[in-house]
Formats: sequence, C-alpha cells, structure tokens
Amino acid sequence: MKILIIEDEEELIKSMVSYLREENYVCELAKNLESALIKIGMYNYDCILLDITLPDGNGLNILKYLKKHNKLEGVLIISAKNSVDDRIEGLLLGADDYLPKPFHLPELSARIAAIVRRKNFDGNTIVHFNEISVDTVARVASFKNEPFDLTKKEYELLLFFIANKGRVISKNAIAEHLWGDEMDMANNYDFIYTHIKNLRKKLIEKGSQDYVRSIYGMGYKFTDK
Amino acid sequence: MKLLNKYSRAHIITACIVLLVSSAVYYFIIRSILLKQIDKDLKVEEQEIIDFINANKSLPHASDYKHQQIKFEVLRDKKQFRETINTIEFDEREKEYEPYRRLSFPVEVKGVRYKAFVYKSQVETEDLLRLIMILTATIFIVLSILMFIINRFVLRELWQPFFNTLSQLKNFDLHTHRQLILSKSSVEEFEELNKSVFLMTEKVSNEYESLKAFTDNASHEMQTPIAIIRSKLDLLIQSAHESQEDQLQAIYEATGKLSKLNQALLLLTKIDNHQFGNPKNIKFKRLIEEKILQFDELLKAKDLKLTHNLSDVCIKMNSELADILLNNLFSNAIKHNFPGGRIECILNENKLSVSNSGPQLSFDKMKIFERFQKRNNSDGIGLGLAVVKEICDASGFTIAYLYADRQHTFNVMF
Repeated sequence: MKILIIEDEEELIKSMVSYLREENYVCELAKNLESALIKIGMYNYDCILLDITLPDGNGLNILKYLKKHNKLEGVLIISAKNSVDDRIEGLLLGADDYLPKPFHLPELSARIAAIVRRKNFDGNTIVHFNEISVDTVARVASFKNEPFDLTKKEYELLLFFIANKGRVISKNAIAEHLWGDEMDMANNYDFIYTHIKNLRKKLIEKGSQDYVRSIYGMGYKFTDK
Repeated sequence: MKLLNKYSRAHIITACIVLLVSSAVYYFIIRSILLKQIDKDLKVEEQEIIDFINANKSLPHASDYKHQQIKFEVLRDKKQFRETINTIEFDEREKEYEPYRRLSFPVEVKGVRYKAFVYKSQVETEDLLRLIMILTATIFIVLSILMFIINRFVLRELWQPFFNTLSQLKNFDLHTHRQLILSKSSVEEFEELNKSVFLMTEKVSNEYESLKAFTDNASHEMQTPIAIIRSKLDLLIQSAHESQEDQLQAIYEATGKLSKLNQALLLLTKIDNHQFGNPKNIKFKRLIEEKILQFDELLKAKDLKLTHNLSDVCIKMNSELADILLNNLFSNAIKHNFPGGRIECILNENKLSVSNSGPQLSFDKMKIFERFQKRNNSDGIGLGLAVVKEICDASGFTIAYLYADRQHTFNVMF
C-alpha cells in the first residue's frame, strides 16, 4: 500500500510515518503543493493524506488536480481548520474523509484503512483477523462465518481494534473514536471498559481467543501474540 | 436633574435676584430724582413768595390748588429754621390722606416773623413710581417666560448634536464593526466631543479586533503543537513501561483538555467573527431526539431520568451551531447532576428549556455564562456555557438561567 503524506509539519510527519509503517504502508512525503503535484503526476497512490494549509498554497488545489485528471486516489484531509465549510468543500471536491487536527494516530490509521477498503476495486470489503472477519459493507462481524451479535459501538470498536492490530491504543483514542470529541466524555473511561468487556465476552463465547490485552492503565492492544 | 432644568433654574434664580435688587435700587433712585424735582419746584415757589413779600411788603394769599398749598403761621420763637420733609395731609377734595412734600421757611413782613409752608403733593410722584414698578414687573415676567421658552426650545435645539452623539454611543456595539455616524455640528465643543468620541471608539474597536485576532492566531498556532504532542504520545505508549503509566495517562488527559480548550476558543472566535452564516430551518424536535439517543449511555451511567415534552417546531439557525448548542446544554445538564437525578427538556414555539437537578452554584449566578467560570472541583474547561451564550447571541435568541428548588433551568427564548 502506498500512501502520500502532504504535510509541512516535520514532527507530525515523523509520527505518522512511524505509526503507519508498522501497518506495512509505504509512505512518501511532500512538504509543499509543488512537490505534491509532481509526485501525484508521476505515481499512483492508494491514499493521500492532505493538509489543506500548505506553505505555497491551498491543499484543495490537489483535489482539483485529481478531479481534472480523473485520478482515483483516496484522499483524507487532515486539517487544522476544523470548519464545516472546509469539510464540505473538501468532500465536494472529491475527498473521501476529513480528520481535524489534533487527531490520534490509531484514528488516522482506521480512517486510512476505511478509505483503502472503499477504493479497493477488487471488491474486497471484508477485513480479516485470524478467524474473525468483518464485512464492512453489511457491517457484520463473524467468527468462522458465524456472525456475532454485536451492538453498533462494539462493532465499531472491533473494527477499530483490527485496523490497529498489534498496537497499543490509548483509552482517549478509543473514546474519541466511539463518541467523537464533542460529547465531552472527559476522563470517563467506564464506558470504554464496559464496551470492551462486552466485546471480549462475545468473542470468547463464540470460541475466539481473547485477543484484547489491557496495557497497564494506558490502553488496549488487539493482538494474537 | 437634567442639564436643561438645572440651567433654567440657575438662570431664573439669577434673573430674579438681579431684577429684585435692581428694581429696589431703581425705585430709590427714581424716587430721589423725583423728590429733587419737587424740592426744586418748592424752592422756586419759595423764591416767588420772597419776591412777592419784597415787592408788596405783605404776605401773599394762602392758596390751596390741587397739588400745591401755601400756608403762613406767625412764628413765636426766634429760632431760624428751614426744612424740607415728607408729610401726610388730609386732602379735602379727595377726602383722603395723601403724601406731601413740605418746605417750611421763615419770612418777615413788617417786622412780624412768619413761618411759610409750601406743600406739594407727591401723588403724581407715587403714581409715576407705581407705573414704573408695574412696567418693570411686567418686563420681568415677560423676560422670564421668554427665557423659559428659550431654554426649552433653543437650548434643546442647541444640545441636539450632543444627544445624537449620546444615542450613537448607547448603540455602540463592538461586535457589529459599525462605525459611529456622528452628525456635524457648528458648535466647536460638540465638534470636539464628536472627534474625541470617534477616536476613542475607533481605538476601542481596533484594540478589540487585535485582541480577537490574537485569540484567533494563538488558537490556530496551538493546534499544531497539540497535534504533535498527541501523535508522539500515541507512539510513546507503544513501547512504554508499566512504571510510566500514570505520567503518560496524565499527559494524555492534559493534552485532551488542552485540545478541547483550543477547539472551544476557536469556536468562540469563529462565532465572534460571524463565520457561521446561512441559517436553515432546523427540525428541532428531531435533533433533540437524536441527541437524547446520543447521550443515552451517559444518562444511564449516571442513572438520570430524562423527561421531555417536545413540540414539532422549526427553528431558523445555523445547523452546526444548533448541534453544538444542544450538545453543550445536555452535557452540562448531565455533568452537573446528582446520580439518579432528573433532566427535563421542553420545546415549544417560544422556547427551549433544559432543566436538571443539581447542587447549587459555588459562584455568582450572574457569571454563569462567563468564560472560564466553573465549579471549583469541575474537570471541565469552563467554556461550555459561554459557547451556549455566544451561539444564542449570534442566532438572535436570548438565554436565561434560573435556580429554584434545587433545579437549574436554562431557557432559550427564540
């Protein structure tokens, strides 16, 4: 999987690259509009991470370029300007998703995975983890083809875990993924705990291994190791 | 007291005093002039009598004309005298006492000494004086009335530029970016006042704008560092040691709070800058029902009982703001509630009311919508209700807070 990161903030690039590399994504960088356009002109990517505010212009120009040249890259806008207008404009210009800064890396990873899934033209919309498979179109998860009876939140949680498999996900990242940040769930991790407990129970009931590890007090890891 | 009244009062009092004093002085001066005139006439008469005596060696006839009488009396003592006095004599014709001026002087006819009296009536003098006083009083009254009218109308007219400026100042609103429209005045003082007021408001507006720009820039600049901290934390916990758990969790939470604070500040500046336009008709009932579902878990966790009575109304406002408004109101009602408490939500054409049970405020309730005002032990950022207030202001609603029977109520009046 090849990803182009168009972003001008050095440290943020390093973090993203470091996290995404683990996911076996190949990351390429463009720190301004000009080099981004050159790279897009030369190569094809599975997904483009696009910061709108670039030193030499508006990142939305990339979207216009892609549209004009009928390029089908998935685009995830990562923007410091969390405004609905920007979001709408970006989505209208053909972006696939919009992630406001500051974001959690697991969230970024999950969003990229979703875009790649959607853009994958071999019709592979099913995510696998050992015997567990998640049909992201039907929104059904199953163990050895036997569907789990998951609630909406538990389904989202499972998908989030699989997108970040083998990685420690902080409770904060999980809370933001499940409830968004506008609900102000500040420091109330009991909800996460309840959902994780229920998900684990349902997985084990079907005969699955217990993949969810609690990592000290910091977060959780979905792993078979 | 109004300036106009104060001014009129001072004016009228001064005028009264001056007129009273001056009319008294006037009276005495005119009186003394008139008396001198009479005395002069009396002296002429004296000279005539003396001339007559010298020519005829006999006394002239005592006479009694209308305003002049001459009498003679034999003088017994030797004392020489001559005097002019005011007396009151009975007037036979008029049958009443009237004031007279009397000159008495000695005369000698054939060795007999007489005392001659010449009376001159002062009635005319008095009449004249009276007339003058009446005239003065009339002038005084007319002048007072005129002054009153001048004060009322001319002064009001004169002060008009001042009142215009005042009403402009009253309507001055920093948020609207509207410059003051001050009418030109031919009065130098008002022109100067207008200039000063204009400069002052311009300065205030500029300061406000730069403060706003500062908040805006500061919030924007803060976003990238927060994003970096957050991403580094997400990487750090991949290889963190158990002993670092508490520190990392604390950093996570602090960063989360910082990020929320930042978002709220950005939101407030955006509302301030009127960046939320295009109001749409929003089906509020449906939106509230969605929110209740969204907050269901939080409600259940605190065992809160939510009752609602929602009418099917459409409210015209920006949809993003409507969403934030409800989020903040519900978050607030849940956060500051007792476990097992109540929340009541009422929606009708006139208002949206959200009330919840909860402990009394630890601060002045007038400050509830102020930024960073929060309960002592609250872990919130203290901007939720400030945002609610800003949204209401920006959407043309009014919001009121009530506390009664251990029940907090927020009423949004559409």
